[in-house]
Amino acid sequence: MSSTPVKKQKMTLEQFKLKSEWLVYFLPFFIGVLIFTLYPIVNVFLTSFKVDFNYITKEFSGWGLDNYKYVLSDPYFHQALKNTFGYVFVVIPISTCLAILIATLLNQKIKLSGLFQTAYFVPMVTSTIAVGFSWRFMFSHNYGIINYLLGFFNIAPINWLGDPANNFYALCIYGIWAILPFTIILLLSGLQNIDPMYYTAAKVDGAGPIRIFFRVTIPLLLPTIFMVIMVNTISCFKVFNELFPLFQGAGVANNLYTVVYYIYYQFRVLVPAQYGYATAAALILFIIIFIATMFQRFVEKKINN
Amino acid sequence: MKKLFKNLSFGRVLIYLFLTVGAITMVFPFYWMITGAFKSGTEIISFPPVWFPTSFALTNFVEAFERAPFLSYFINSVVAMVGSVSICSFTTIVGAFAFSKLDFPFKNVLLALLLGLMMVPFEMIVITNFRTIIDLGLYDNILALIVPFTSSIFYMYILKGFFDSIPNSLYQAARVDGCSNWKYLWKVMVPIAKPSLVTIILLNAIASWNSFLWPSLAILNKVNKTLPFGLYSFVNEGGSRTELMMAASTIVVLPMIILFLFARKQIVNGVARGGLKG
Amino acid sequence: MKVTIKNLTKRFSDMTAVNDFSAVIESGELIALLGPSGCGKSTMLNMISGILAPTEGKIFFDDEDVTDLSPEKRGVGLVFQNYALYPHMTVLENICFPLEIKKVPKEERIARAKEMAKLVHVDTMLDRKPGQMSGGQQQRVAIARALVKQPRILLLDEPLSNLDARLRIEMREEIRRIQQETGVTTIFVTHDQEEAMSISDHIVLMKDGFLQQYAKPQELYDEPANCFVADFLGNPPINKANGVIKNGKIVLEGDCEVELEAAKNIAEGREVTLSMRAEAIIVGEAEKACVGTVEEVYVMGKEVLAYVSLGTTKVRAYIDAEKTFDKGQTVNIGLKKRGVFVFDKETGERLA
Repeated sequence: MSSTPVKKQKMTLEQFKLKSEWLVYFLPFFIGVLIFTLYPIVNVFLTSFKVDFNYITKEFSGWGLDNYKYVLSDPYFHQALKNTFGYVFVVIPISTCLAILIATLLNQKIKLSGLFQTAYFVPMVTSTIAVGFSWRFMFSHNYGIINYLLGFFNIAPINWLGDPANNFYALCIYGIWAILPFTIILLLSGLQNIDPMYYTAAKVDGAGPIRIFFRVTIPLLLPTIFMVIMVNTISCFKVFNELFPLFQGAGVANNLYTVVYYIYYQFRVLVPAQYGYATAAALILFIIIFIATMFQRFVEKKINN
Repeated sequence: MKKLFKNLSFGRVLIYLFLTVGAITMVFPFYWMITGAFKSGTEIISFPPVWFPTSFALTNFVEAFERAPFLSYFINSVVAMVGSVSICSFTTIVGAFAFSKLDFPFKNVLLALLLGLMMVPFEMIVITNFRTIIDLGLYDNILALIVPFTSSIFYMYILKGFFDSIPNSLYQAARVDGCSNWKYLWKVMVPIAKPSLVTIILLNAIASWNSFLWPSLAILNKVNKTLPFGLYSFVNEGGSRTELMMAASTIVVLPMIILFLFARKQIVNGVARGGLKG
Repeated sequence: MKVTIKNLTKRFSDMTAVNDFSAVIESGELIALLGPSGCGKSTMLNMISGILAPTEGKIFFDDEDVTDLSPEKRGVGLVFQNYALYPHMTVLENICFPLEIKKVPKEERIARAKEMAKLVHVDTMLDRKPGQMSGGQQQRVAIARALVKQPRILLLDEPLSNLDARLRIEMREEIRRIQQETGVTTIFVTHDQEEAMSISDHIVLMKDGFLQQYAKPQELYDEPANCFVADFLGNPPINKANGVIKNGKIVLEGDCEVELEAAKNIAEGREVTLSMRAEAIIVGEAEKACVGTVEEVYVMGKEVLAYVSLGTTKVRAYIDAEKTFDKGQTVNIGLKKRGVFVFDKETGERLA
């Protein structure tokens, strides 16, 4: 009599174990995501609407759009937007065109391709800070190698880093150099996925290399190009690390605020830290990135049709 | 015919010329950094610049090590990298297995949610994570460089894709033989997924080694800094001796360059497949 | 070991894959689960192995109810269509793996695995990886891996479909040999009637989730339970002609009257299908069943095949190589008793 309920209980325990087994695999992964990705997103979203948020006492005087009003009327944020968008509009077209050209050449049957690839890709794995210092050395006004080389073209030494009129271009040059390896890798792998029969067919039809490039290669590569532009745009909107080795911050005259630097400034440099402004600016950045992504998807669809 | 051949070879020469100039531009900052690390104080500020240092004595490195605790920066970088990468690899493997082979409530909803979260920039969540680390009492602790990076949606998603491509009959065959999920994962799935895993580990290690924003937020004291942050503070506080700056930068950059030379194919393939910056 | 299946049903959300299936499989037999694709035969196999749980019904191994047992507790060996060998393990490691899970000591493990490898003739390639082997060799390893744990029953899912034609014949004889040497009760799934006919002791023929007939291969061929069974087996496919019973004769479309002993017991006016195997039709026979017209004669090596119209229906018939017929010639057609069946036209039910 008494053995039946015991057996039944054992069955349910076993079934419970079987049914909950997924938690053993799921939880180790998900706990980290929950605490360090999911919760912060919700928290940033909520904090951005809290008025007069005190980060020590966590008290606030009410809900509202005050943080957004402040950020959107802050001249430094305007400057940050201007610089960030300017950076995207300079770096993306130049780096994409250069990368298409280099990837196409690397995709030819060339000798020493391993050596070339190593040279083109190695900047990808190195620290933005450390290499940035090398660029700072190269950009040096008085003894920099760049000004020395420009001297051969009769160009007078440029104060790349110390002059607010030039430091934006220094930032862009370093940015283009730093983003090229990643861009070339993606485009090269896109090129390698193109079936060679298209080239053979075009050659049979009597097309020359230039025509093949513009009429066959580019159209077939277009999806990859769009993907690369999308990923790079997102990463360029977040330009930040490069500012530190080159300028130790936002440039000589505080003229090189970027959106992420503005966020960093609000909650890490300012005392007391302004979490409300930082989160509002972060949300604005997210919305900008989101819109940029949607816009590119839209254009991509338009072109594909 | 002859003319065509001639044109072709002229084109080839142009290709090589262009590629060589480009390649030199790409590696030049490294050349300048490493040679700069060996230049003397007068060589480094001479104009026209000195192309090759006259001696290869390690005096600049020695001085850099004397002025800042680069050895402990190095150790901290290694500890943070090994800690976060090994834990993250574990959670990535089990998480990918759960999403690829196990059934549980709201699985597809969760997966869609996670994909959406991938769009959110790290720079945004960093604000809260900074507070979380302080609240957890981990501020200025080496653990602060490990704990927030113990799981990654992106790597989980990549590995899940690979797990999905392993035929389900393998799983059924193992189940029929009485193989538990746990054993199947570690004895069958993981060995088969080894190439993907190596790539994930490499990309994760590179990202960890080079990270700057997060250590600069979470770490305060010299003894707990990692290499990029330590290097930055060294330059920022230690004045403007360029040759020391170059020597210190070389210490940060060299391990990753060596890693890249050995594992170029895995890293490049991983980046090409993942479509995310390494 | 005897396998008893009682009223087994498997319903998926939108379809019933197996419907009220009952059968008893005798110990030590080689059974083919045969049917067109989508007939539920693989679902059957997965339920016997325990990978799928049935919606209703029971499965017994001997007298033990295994319906709720998980696969590993049933003691089944399973061979997959794509072999499912672990690509990172050698042949020996693959065969050892089930024993490793059972925690068999290492030396015994290797000894047993080597013995199995010998049985399936892969003992010369123990250190190879599956990727370095041909399909047939991989298949042998998969069988060895399934057999090494001494299963109570061996299940094979379309074991030959990934092989080319020549290997297929070789491997099916190998499967027969291995099965007879080990004496393990074996069930294999196939959609190829020739495969099933050539090596199995009994065939389970399924269609749309229903059991059609469960019999010895020859019995299936000689005494099909219904029109589908007659259709499914045999090459060339069985000839079919529709007709109506009138005065104890079958009147085919196009007013061709067929005299058939068996037709006399069928109710007047019933619509029927007359099915005749090619070798059961005798062209130019004195004892005629009906009259037909020769349309075409093909000589194919040792056989001669004629197309003959019976009314409006064209049928294939084997004819004696010595006899010659002209196109358009009217001939007497005789029908053998063996290989001629009458089915209900609507239900396919066997009438005679």
